[in-house]
Amino acid sequence: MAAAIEIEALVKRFGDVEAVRGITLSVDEGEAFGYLGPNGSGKTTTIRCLLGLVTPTGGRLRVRGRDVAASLPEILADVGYLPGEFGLWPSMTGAEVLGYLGDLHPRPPARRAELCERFDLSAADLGRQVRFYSRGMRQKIGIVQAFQHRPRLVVLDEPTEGLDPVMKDRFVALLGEHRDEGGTSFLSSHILSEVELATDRVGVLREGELVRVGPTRDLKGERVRHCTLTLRDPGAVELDLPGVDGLRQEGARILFDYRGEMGPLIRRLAELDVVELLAEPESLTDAFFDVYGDR
Amino acid sequence: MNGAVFRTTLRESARSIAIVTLGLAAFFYLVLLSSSAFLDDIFAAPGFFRQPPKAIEAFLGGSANFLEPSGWLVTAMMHPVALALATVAAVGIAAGAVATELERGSLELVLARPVSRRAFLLGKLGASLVAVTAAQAGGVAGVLIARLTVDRVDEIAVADVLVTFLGAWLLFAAFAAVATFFSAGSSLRGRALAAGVGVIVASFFANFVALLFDEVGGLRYATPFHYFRPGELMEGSAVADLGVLLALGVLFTALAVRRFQRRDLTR
Repeated sequence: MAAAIEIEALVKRFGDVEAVRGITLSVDEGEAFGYLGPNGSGKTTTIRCLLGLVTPTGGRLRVRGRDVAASLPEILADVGYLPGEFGLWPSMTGAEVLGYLGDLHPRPPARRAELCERFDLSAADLGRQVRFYSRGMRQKIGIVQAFQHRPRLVVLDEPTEGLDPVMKDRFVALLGEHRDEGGTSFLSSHILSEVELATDRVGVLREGELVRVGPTRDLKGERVRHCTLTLRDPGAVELDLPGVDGLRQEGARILFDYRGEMGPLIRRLAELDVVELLAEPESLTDAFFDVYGDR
Repeated sequence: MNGAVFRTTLRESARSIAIVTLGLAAFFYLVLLSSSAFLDDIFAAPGFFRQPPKAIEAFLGGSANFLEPSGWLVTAMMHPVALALATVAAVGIAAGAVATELERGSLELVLARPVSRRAFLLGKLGASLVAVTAAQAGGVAGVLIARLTVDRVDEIAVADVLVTFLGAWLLFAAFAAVATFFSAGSSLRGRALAAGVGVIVASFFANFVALLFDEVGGLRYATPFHYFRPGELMEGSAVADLGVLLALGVLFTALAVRRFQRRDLTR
């Protein structure tokens, strides 16, 4: 299968700071790739190099067989991009923003109406100036503008920031459809659930270096949840259960990490007088480092 | 030049362009109206008006004649209020061309589309030039209304009015290109705005000092204000100097494009 994205020995320095250190990576046409890493690890810089917004210090980038340095306009005609942090034109309405961004593209915004409906952007919403929009509303506009012209490749940097759970589900479904239609996705995110659902492979960045690349499915079943248990009567509690680690008590709260299926844990907790249980999945990045023991 | 960038920028700035245009129209009309009062009795005018001090002449760009309608127009053109309004028109959009979009986070959305940086920047500069044109057109309108309604203002030929405002247009178009150059290299609108306005103020001050003190007279050639002398333009001389302003605008436009094409778009 042809490569949608080829990154070869990419280096980017800002003054004395080396933001990206020799990344080599390939994403196939039709593949959904997750690009993971903590803040400052070089994810956004890689994306900006890929889109010609930043000039690499070294290395080569190709998108759908074309060299980024030589054929940027042709490449961008096939790309939909949602930046991680973006602003809109405050005096414009949502409809005007989508119209403006559509006018900048050679292809017609064939999916605009359908996407606005899917993400609950009503005519009234689109008629309001974007300076009155919430973070979630702005994000919906960002998603629509990235997909409205049916791009072959979507590059998405933290795409679900600010979206409520229903909209996140709809976004994951949209990514699934894009993949089913043969489109390629390059998704930078730190939200485990959406990366698990929406990508085939992930790459993990740390301090500008690509430290791991592997199938997303390798992570399933290995995920650690950070649990906080609140009991009505916090006496001495023993959770002698496989997968429980780092058990400690802070007043009425008991904190521990749990690895494995949730069923056994829930059955054990049913024996206690539980007021509340929070089980927060760790980030995919952390899970990846856990899996490969590379911390 | 990208048409969508041009149109959207103009739409965003339409209100401020309209305010500056009306402001300049009103200002020119009021200056000509109030100046006509000097003519009630020329010979009774104080010596200050009959022979203005050198500092006043320097402040008004080299010549001051309060007793002739053409002199009133020169006074209006070099008056700080007119210069300030024209500066707003020249620098307001231009200083934000790149810096505002970058600071706001909207530039990536535009330039991740098949829009070249040159086309984007020229679209922004085009909108700036419309603002400069509208502002100067406002001034022309104020003078033309004064010609119809104020005594003796019709002594200023329409052709002289137009050539003078053409000079002002070239001066402030050049300053718009300079502000675009600063914006092309900046990520902060405030910084680009300060640099653009700073160049205009410094140029005005340098021209003033050069005209006032013979020892530093040569300094005036280094300031764009030297190449815009409305009094001489109305007399038919100094027209060739406008070519310098045109060249300056073209030069800074080219430098701005080059600078923008070479920079990384990071905040």
